[in-house]
Amino acid sequence: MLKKLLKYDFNAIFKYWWIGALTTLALSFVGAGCGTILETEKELPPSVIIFATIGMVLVVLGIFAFIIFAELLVYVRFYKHLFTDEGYLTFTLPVKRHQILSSKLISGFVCGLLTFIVAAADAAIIILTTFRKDIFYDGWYYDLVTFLKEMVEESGIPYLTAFFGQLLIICLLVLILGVLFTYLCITFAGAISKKSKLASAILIYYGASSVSSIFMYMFYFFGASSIFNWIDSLSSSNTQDNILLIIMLLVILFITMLCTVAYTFNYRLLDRKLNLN
Amino acid sequence: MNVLEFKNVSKAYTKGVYVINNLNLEIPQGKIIGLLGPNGCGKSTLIKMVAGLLQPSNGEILVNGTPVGDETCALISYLPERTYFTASMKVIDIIDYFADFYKDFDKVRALNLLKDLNVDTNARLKKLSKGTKEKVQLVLVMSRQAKLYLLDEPIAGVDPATREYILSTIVSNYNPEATIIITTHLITDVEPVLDDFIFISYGGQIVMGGNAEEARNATGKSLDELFKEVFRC
Amino acid sequence: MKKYLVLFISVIILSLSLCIPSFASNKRVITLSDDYKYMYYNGATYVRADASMLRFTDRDLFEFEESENVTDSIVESSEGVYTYTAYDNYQDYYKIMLTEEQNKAIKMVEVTNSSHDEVIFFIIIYFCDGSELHLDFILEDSIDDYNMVISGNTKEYQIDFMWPDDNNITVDKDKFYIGNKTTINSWDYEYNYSIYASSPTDSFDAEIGMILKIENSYYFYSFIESDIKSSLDFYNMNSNKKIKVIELADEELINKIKIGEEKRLNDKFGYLYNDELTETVSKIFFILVFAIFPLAIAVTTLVIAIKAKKGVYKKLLIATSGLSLASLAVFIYIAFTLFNK
Repeated sequence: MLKKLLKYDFNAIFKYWWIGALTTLALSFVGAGCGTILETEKELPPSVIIFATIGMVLVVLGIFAFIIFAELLVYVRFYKHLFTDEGYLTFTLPVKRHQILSSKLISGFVCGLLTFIVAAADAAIIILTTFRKDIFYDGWYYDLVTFLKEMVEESGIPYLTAFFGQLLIICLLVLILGVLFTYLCITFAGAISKKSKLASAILIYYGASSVSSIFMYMFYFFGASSIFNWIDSLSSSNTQDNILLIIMLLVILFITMLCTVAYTFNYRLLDRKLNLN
Repeated sequence: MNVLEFKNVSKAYTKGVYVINNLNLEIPQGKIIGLLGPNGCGKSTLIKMVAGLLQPSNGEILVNGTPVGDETCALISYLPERTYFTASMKVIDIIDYFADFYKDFDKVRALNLLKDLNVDTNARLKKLSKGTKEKVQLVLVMSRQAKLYLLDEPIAGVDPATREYILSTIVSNYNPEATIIITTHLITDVEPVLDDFIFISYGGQIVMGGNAEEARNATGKSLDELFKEVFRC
Repeated sequence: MKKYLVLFISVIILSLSLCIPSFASNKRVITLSDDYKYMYYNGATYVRADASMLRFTDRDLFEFEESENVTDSIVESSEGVYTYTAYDNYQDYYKIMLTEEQNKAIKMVEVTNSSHDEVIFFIIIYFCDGSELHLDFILEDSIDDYNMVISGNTKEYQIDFMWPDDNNITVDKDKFYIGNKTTINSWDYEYNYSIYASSPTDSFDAEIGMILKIENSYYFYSFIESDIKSSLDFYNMNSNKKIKVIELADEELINKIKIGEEKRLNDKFGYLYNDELTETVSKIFFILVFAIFPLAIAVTTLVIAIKAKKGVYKKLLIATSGLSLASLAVFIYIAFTLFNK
C-alpha cells in the first residue's frame, strides 16, 4: 500500500514540479548570458548593462521562487490531502496511518533533494559560464578541479572534507527533519484548531522556527568556538580526528532522534487526534 | 453475526460536552438501516467514528468483530456528505485510484453506471455539476463489494429526481449480505428503502428503533410521522 | 520673495566658486619611471619594495577588489603628457601622469595610499595586452625605517591584546629574547597575541611574531626567524608542525602581558567573549542539550511505551528511546575524552 500511496503522492507533486525545474534551468542559461555580459571587459552601452543586471536579479529571484514553489507543493499537498475534505478519502483508505505519513515524508524528502540538485545545477551553470575564462582552459578538467578545490579551501573548511560522507548524511537528515518539522506544525494545527487550520499551521510554524533559530544562534554563540578549542587542546592529531568522527556520530544520532520524535508525535496526532470537520 | 457493535461509546469534542454518551448498539448484517435524528444529534459523528475519521473518547467500536483501523477500512465503503476527491482529478483517474486501493472495487460496474449517467470519464471533477459529482461519488462507493456501507446524508442538497436515482442505485447495487447505514433527515424519501430504523436523539441516545414495516403496522403511521411525533419541538 | 531667492542663489554660486579652486589646486600628481622602479610624488621619490610583510595581515584586502572607486577618466593631453585620474580607497584624489610610451601600453592605473602619511603606495598597472603589474612603493627616505621594521630591528616591540581599543604594551625588544629556546606544536596554545615592530616615525608597522600562552607560560614566536610572512600564514600552518619558540623569562615583560590580559578579560565587550565564561556556559549548554534533553526523551518515551499497546506507536517509542540513550552514551564518551586528558 505504501508503494501505491507513493505513486499518487509523487504524481501529485511532480506533475507541477518538473515545469518549475525546467523553467529555472532555462532561466539559468539566461542568467549565464547576463553574467557573461556583466563580466565582459568590452565597453558596452549602459542600457545593455542595466538590462543584464535586471536580468540577473530576475534569474536569481526565479531560482529562489522555484525553491519556495517546490516547498509549497509538498506542504500544500500534505495539508490538502490530510486536513481538508480530501482527508475524508485519505483516512478511509485501507492503509495504516504510518504508511500515509511515511509516503508524505518520502515524497517530501525526494522533492526537497531534487529541488536542491536543480538549484545547485542552476547556480553552477551561471557561475561556470560567467567565469569560464578563469576556469576553463585547454586542460579544463584540471582547472575545474583546481577551482573547486580553491573554493573549498577558501570556504575555510578543508579540515572537514575528510568527513564528507558524514556531512552528507547529516545534510540529508537535516532535510528529513525539516520536512517532518513542517508536517508536525501542520498536523498540530489540524489537531488543535477548529477553524482556520491553515492560518494556525503557519503561525505555529513561524513560532517554532523562531524558537529553534534562537536556539541555533545560542549554539553558535556559546558552543561552536568552544568545541574547536576543546578539540585543539587534545594531545595528538589522531585523537583529534577520532573525536571529530565521534562528534559527527553524536550529531547524526541526535538529529535522527529528533526525526523519530517528530515522526512519533506526528503519527500519534494523526492516529488519535484527527479532527476533520 | 453483527457487522457493527458499539460498546459504551462516548465522544466529547470539548471537555464535559458529550456528543455521544455511553452508546451501546448492535447492527446486524444484510440490512438497510436508517439512522434518523434531528440536526446536530450526532449521526455524522457516529458514522465518522465507524469510518475511522474520529476517535471515540471512551468505549470501543467493532466492525465484523475487529476494532476500527486500517483493516476495517477495507470492509467499509464510506460516502461522506461532501465531495472528497481532488477537484482537478479526472473521473477515470478516480476510478483507477479506487481500483488501486480497494480489492473489492468493481471497475466494470462503475464504468457502466457512469455510462448510464452520461458522465464523461475524461472530464475533470471540477467541471461537473454538484448533482453529477454526488452521483459519481455514489457510483464509486456502491461499486465496491463492502461488508458495511456508510452513507452520510446521501440525498441532501440534490433535486428529487437525483434523490430517486441515488436511492435506486443504492438498492440495486449493494452487496445483499452487506449492511447499509443511511443517515438523513429527509425521511420521506428514504423510508421506502429501509429495512430497519434507529431514531437517535441528542447525546447519541437511541429513542426508538426496530423493523420499519413492523413499526408502521404497529403505529399506523409512517416513519416520517413517527419522527415528527418523537422529536416534536 | 525675489530678493531672498537672489540671495539664496548667490550664496550657492559663491560657495561653489570657492570650492573649485580648492579642487583645482589639489595637484596630487604621481609619475612613474619608464622601468617602473621609481615613483615620484609630491617632490619625493619612492622606491619598489615588498610590502607584504607589513601590518596588513590580509594583503588581499588591498588588492583593489574595492576598485569601484577607481575611475578611468577622459585622457587629457598636454604637451605630450597623458594623465589618468584615480581615486584610492580613502577617497583621496591622485593624478597619474604617464609618458606617451607608457600611455600606449597602459589601459588603467589603480592607486591605493596605504598609510595616512603617504609613505607607502600600492599601485596596479593594467596593460593593454591584458597583463597586470602589482607594485609597492615606499618613500625613499623611509626605506631604512622599512627595512628596520620588517627585519624586527627596532628598539621596541608592541604587543596588541585586541580589546579594548588601544590595549597594547610597548616593551624593549631585548626582553623577548631572554629565556630558553624550546619547541612546541604550532596549535598547542590557549591564547595568542600579535607582536609588532613600528617605524620610528610611527607611519607604519609590521607584524613580526606572536606571544603564545600555554597554561602559565608565555612563548615568543618570531615570524622573521621562522620565515613566516604574516599571521595568516601562521594560522594556515599544518596543525602538528613543530615550531621554535623562546620561553619568556623577563619578569617585567611577563607582568606587562598579564596586565594586558587582565584588561582584556575585564573589558565589557571582552566579557561576552571571556573564554572561561564562554567555556562554562558552553559546557552547561551542551549538557542541557546533549545529556538532559535526550535523557528526558528516553525516560518519557520508555514510560509511555511500557503502557502502550503493541503496534506501530510502541515500536516508534522504543526506537526513539533507544536513539536518545545512544546519543547520551556517545555524548558522555566525548565529554570524558575531552575533559579527562
